[in-house]
Amino acid sequence: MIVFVSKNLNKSSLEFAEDCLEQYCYIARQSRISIENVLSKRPKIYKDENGRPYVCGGLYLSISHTSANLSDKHNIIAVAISPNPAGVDIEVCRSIDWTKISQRYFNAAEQKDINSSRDFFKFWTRKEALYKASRDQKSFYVPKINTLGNADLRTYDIFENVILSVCTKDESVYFCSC
Amino acid sequence: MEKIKNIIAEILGINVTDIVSESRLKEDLNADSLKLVQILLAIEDEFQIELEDEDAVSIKTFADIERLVKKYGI
Repeated sequence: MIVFVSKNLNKSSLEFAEDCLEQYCYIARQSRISIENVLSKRPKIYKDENGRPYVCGGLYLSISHTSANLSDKHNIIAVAISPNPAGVDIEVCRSIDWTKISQRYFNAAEQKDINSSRDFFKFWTRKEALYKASRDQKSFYVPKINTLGNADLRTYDIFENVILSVCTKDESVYFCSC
Repeated sequence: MEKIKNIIAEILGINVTDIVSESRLKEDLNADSLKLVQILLAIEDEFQIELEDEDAVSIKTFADIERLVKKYGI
């Protein structure tokens, strides 16, 4: 998996994702990674019936964006691309009433480990990344979906106060700052 | 509906006048997934209801919220 991250996005998220996809294919060609049908033509990003982006030809793509400040347009974006099902979520740690959200959207075991807003954002991004990778429309709203002990989930601190989580079966996750 | 518009505007840091029926919460009003959840919980708190999971997932535009207002008799 390669995760492309931009902190000062000045184009649409779809345009940025297309640029990332082109970079991924370039890297794949340079690395001689075989990706079905991708190497021979420029891949396109499509949207499924739920509006989620995906790529034909053996690649999976996930996009997440957020804002540094409440009233700013989304200007922090992460695009994860992988030959396996992929999910990514990025959030700015901020002051929030996380107790109510935790009670509704996390199971009892997860709630035990959420004791601060930072813990909350770690768990939130992990659950969101899992939801995106599973492509299950309803799974996110079911607290029984457990993120604890899930080896496909990884969380990173990127930039100041920004947390990013990915869900992937890939052994390695590489980051590219744009 | 004005109460709901006020809730959304406060959580998203926008003007109430920015919200129209056709407004897409994510694309037009800049709501990310967490802010959407905050909006839904605030609506539930305000009107003492609990949204069904299928209804919560279906919300994409302000018009979807207007539709649910009728469904839940708010």
